[in-house]
Amino acid sequence: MTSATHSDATARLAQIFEDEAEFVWRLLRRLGVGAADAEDLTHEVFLTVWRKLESYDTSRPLRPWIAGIAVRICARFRRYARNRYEVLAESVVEHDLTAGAEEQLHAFRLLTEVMQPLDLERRAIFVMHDVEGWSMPELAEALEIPLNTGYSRLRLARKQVAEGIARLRQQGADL
Amino acid sequence: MTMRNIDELDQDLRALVAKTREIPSLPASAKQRLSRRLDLTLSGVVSATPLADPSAARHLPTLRTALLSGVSLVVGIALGLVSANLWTDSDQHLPSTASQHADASVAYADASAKRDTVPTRDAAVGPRDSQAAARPLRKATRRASVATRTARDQRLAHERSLIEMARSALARGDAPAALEATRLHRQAFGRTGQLGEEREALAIQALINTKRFAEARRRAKAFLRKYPRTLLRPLIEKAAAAVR
Repeated sequence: MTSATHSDATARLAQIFEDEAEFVWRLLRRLGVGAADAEDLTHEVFLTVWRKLESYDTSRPLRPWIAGIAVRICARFRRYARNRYEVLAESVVEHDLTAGAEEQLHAFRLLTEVMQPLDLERRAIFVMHDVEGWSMPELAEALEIPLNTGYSRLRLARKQVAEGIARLRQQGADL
Repeated sequence: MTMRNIDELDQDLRALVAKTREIPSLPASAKQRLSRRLDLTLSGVVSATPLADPSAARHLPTLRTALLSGVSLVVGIALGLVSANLWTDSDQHLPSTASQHADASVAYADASAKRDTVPTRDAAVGPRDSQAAARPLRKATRRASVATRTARDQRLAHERSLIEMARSALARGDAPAALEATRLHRQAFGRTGQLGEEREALAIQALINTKRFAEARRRAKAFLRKYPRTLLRPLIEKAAAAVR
C-alpha cells in the first residue's frame, strides 16, 4: 500500500468504524463472544476491513461484507477450546446494559441460553436473519453460501431454538 | 414444501427477540478505546495490554517488538527453506517412509526405463514396449509422491496458522491466547514440528507478558540449550535478563 492509499484507507476506515462499530460489537456479542473478548475481536475485524479495503468492490453493500468478516473472525476465535463456551449473560450487566433495563437483560439471558446449543454457522444465520432482520439473499452474500443452504440452516437453527424455548417453558421460566 | 417455506418463529421467541433488538450495545468508553487502539495500530505502534508490574513492563515494549520481528524473520526464512525443499524433485532429506518408498519406486522405474532403452537382440520386447510397461508404475509413484507432499503442505500450513495465531495474539497484547496457541502447537507437533523454534520464542515472550517469570526463565534456558545457534539468541537472552 502506498502512503497516499494508506492515508486514504485510514481516513475511510475512521468513517466506517464510526458507522459500523456498534453493529460489529453487537453481532459478535450475539454470536457468543464474551464482553471482554468482543473488544479485541472488533479491533481485529476493523483491521481486516482496513487491509481489504483496496480490494473491496464498492458496488456491493458494505455491511454484509463487514458482517462476513466478523463471522469468519468469530469462527477462528471459537476454534480455541477455551473460547468455545460463551460466558453466560450475567457478565452482560456490567458491560452492556444501563440500570433499569432488567426486562431487556432477562430477555437477553433467555435468548443467549436458547442459542447456546447452536453451532456458529446456524447461530450466525439465526442472529442475522431473525434478530437483526436481514433478508436471506443479503445473508447468503455476506456469508458466501448458497441461498438454500442459508434457508436450511435457518430452519435447523429455529428448530433448535424452539426446543430451547420449550425446555424453558417446562422449567417454568418467565418468558 | 419448498426450501423457502420455513417455519414461523415461536411467539415467545419473537417477544424475546423484540426485547433484545437494541442490546447489547457498545459502551461509549469501549468505542473510544477501540478507536484509539485502531489509530495506534494503523500508525505502526503495536497495541499491548499494560502489565501490572512496572519493573518488567519497562523492558518489554522494545523487546516485544524486537522479538516479534525476529520471530517473523525466522518464520519467513524457515518457510522459505521448507518451500524450496518441497518444490525440489529430490525428497532425500525428508524423513517420511512413504516418500522414501515413493522415491525409491521412482528411481527404480527410471532405472528400469533406462535399462529397457538399451537395444536388445530380442525383437519381441523392444524399448518402446518396456517404456510403456513402466509408465503406469511411474504414474502411480508420482501420485504417491504428490499425495505425500500435499500432506506435508497441509501439516505445515496447520503449524504456520498456529504460530501466526500466537504471533498476532502477542501483537494485540493477548498473551494468554498466544500461550494457548503455542500449547496447541506443542501438543499437535511436539518435537516433529518444523516451527518449534519459533513457537518456543513466542511462548517465552507470552510467559513474560503474563508475568510467569520463573517459567519464562526456565524455558529460555531450555531454548538456548536446544537451539544454541538460533538467530533469536540475543533477543531471548535479553528477555530472560529483563525478568531476572
